[in-house]
Amino acid sequence: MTTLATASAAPAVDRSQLVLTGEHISVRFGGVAALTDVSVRIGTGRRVEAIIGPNGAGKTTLFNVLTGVVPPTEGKVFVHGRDVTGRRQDFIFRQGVSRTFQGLRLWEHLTVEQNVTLASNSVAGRKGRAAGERVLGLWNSKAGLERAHWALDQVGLTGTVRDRKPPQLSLWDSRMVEIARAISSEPDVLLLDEPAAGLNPVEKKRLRELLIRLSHEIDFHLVVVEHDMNFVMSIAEHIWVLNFGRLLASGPPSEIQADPRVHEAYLGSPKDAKK
Amino acid sequence: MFSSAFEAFATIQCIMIIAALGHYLPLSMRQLDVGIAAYMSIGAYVSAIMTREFGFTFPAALAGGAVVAGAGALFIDALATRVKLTGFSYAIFSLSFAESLRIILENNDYVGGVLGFSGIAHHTTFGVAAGVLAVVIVLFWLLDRSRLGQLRTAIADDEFIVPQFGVPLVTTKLIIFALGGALGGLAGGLYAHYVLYIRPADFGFVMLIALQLPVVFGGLDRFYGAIVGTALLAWIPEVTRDLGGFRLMFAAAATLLMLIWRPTGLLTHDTIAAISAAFRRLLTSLRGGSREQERPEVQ
Amino acid sequence: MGLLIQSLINGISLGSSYALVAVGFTLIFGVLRVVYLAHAAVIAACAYVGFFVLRYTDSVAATLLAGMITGAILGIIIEAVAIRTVRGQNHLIAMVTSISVAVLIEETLRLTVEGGQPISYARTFTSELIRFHIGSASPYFTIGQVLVVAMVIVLVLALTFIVQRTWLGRSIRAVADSETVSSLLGVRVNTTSSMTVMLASTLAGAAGVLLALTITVIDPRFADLMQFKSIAIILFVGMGSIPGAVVGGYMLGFVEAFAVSYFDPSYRDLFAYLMMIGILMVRPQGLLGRHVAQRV
Repeated sequence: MTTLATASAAPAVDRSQLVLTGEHISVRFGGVAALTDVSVRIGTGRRVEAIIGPNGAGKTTLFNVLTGVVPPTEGKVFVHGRDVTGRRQDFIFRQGVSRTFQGLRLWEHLTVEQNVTLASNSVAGRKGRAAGERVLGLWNSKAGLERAHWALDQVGLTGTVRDRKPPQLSLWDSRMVEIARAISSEPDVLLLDEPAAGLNPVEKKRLRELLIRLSHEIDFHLVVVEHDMNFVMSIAEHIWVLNFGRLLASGPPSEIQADPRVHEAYLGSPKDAKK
Repeated sequence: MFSSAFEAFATIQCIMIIAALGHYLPLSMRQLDVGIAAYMSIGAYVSAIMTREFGFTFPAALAGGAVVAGAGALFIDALATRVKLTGFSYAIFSLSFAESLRIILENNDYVGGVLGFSGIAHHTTFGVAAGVLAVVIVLFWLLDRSRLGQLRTAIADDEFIVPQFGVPLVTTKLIIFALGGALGGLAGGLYAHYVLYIRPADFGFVMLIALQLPVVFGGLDRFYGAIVGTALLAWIPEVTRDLGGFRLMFAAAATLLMLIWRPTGLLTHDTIAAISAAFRRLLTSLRGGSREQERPEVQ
Repeated sequence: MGLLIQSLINGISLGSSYALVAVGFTLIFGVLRVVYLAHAAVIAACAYVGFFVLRYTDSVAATLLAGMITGAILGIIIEAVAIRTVRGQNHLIAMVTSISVAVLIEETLRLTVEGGQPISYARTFTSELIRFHIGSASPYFTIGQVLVVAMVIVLVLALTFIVQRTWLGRSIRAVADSETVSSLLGVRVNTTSSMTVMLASTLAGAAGVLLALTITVIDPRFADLMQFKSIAIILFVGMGSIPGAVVGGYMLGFVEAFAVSYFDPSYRDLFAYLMMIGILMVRPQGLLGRHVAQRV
């Protein structure tokens, strides 16, 4: 069973190996502690990781801290070893961190293609940027459009669907647009907030295969927040478990599945999960 | 070509539509910068001073007025964005600045104080006003197709997630606000050189209402709404002759009824889409029809 | 010395005017939390009605009553037409609908009475001056001003009681907090909203008549500036406090009166605007509706 050593006892972490880390993150809103002393480390040889926990455990808040939406009350965030605590979201995006949001959040009055180009033209720092492209991104560039088309190809959205608007799309297509939008900047880390929500089992299987394939082809680390235990166990190499804003456990799926504390937190679901 | 009364009306309407488009920009992002009358005021006074006192050419004066007005908008909106004002607070904030400007102008003898600034040269003809409006409309059409326009739509749809995709949200909003202010200033400059005599009170609540109600009436989704709204609400009372003095009342009644019935305003995204789809069908049927006549079917 | 006393009197007088307007306005804007800009128009309309009543009856009491009844009726109509119909929409729509109503009322007044030119209330006992002498100075005030102060005190006590202690007050505060929850708990939102606006508009009617008696010359827009300043006052003292609105009104009145006496009178209105800007920069949290936390 893996437990995280406390800060004082742990050896100095070589953050350059890690793509994205949150160190001792605490977030308090008024009297409510959304997160307390949570440390996560994404990277180092693991490609797909998951964050799980009951509702209200703080998973989305953790995402928000890692992507700059919410500054942590305490703690630090590092991307590629660089301290990005409290920096703006667009800055963190340019460091190679991309994400989707809980529920469907697409821009309703932009087409599928425009939803993606909005992100693909805001060029990411290293991989995404073509030679001579400017960072402020107030105009559409040819390279941005190509990246958008490539991303849409990756998720299978080709043809006339690109000119449709989100209200006209099926749930699967909407999710694909979200993923395309998120990968169009060729990120180093992709954070997906409940990507499988609302999908049927066949679609979930397709999603799983797609995500694994993409993470290898585009070379990014994938972090998934999910409620569906089957999905999580089938895709993740490493799992972080949150409960009541604290890190309960972390380790490979087999360990987490056997952990009685995790069972207790969930009241029975991991035990019943099939491999 | 037109009767002089109609020409006067049309010239003023062109100017008002330009200002309305300037007011439309922040409103379309649901940011209640209601300082448009003040931006017009800035543009009017700056351009008038430039031509009357310093002998600048009319185009230069117009540009000067627009730039200073845009800077004014930038200043106010930067402050407001910094403290994250939303909704009605934003409106009060910008209105306070607008009214403060009016008081300062009224107490400043250099610009004529309460009695106003006169002796402005007549540079704005119907041709000039219509020409500038045409250029502005083309620019808006281009904006719709540009990234900045798409950013504006995204901000209006869901502002919260925009920065997550690498967009410097505040900078983008400020650029759009500044453009809105500049348009107001441009309209003000045209106005000053048409009416030839301006007072601070000309740019008070009445001007604001005359601009804001039609813009909201017309719809905030697309810029066509601001044009159609302003034109309709001015033109209908004008055409039904006896309604002349009732213009403001007509605008208020129309806007009230519209908002009760259809809060999105007259023209929405869907309305425009339906109109352009119908237009395209019309074009293809015209083209397709004539082509069939030219080339008989080959069996 | 005379200037000081006169400034104090002017401050009380001015402050009473602001308090009179703010006390009704805050019921809708501060307690019910609706973006509403038609209060000034109601004040003006009731003052105009009072003008005619006074001309034909010569009775201040009848005028006051007429004004209040007019206000009540207008309030019910406005609520049904312009507030209930757009409840729940964003601030811009609420703002524009109430502005439209205000324009309709003020334009009606303008077009039907003297072409919008100012009208004069007939002289009544309220214009009687009370002059006293201190040293070489002889400051004065009118009975009307005393009446206004008395009215303000009565109103603030009555309203505070209503808002804090009665069913209606609780309903108003509940609806302001959350319409959905309130209606689920049995609060009749429509009735509450209607009664609130009616009550506030009745007060507006009283304010209109009293102000007209005090300043004697009115035009359709005479209360517009006071309404705007009321917003500044309510922001400053915090929304929802009725005594606060009154205290704030007097504070602003004093600041302006002294500024006029000792500095430049033409900049009098600037204070309210600067105050507004200052408050919003320091305490900008959402004015109306609770701050909707973004669920991400």
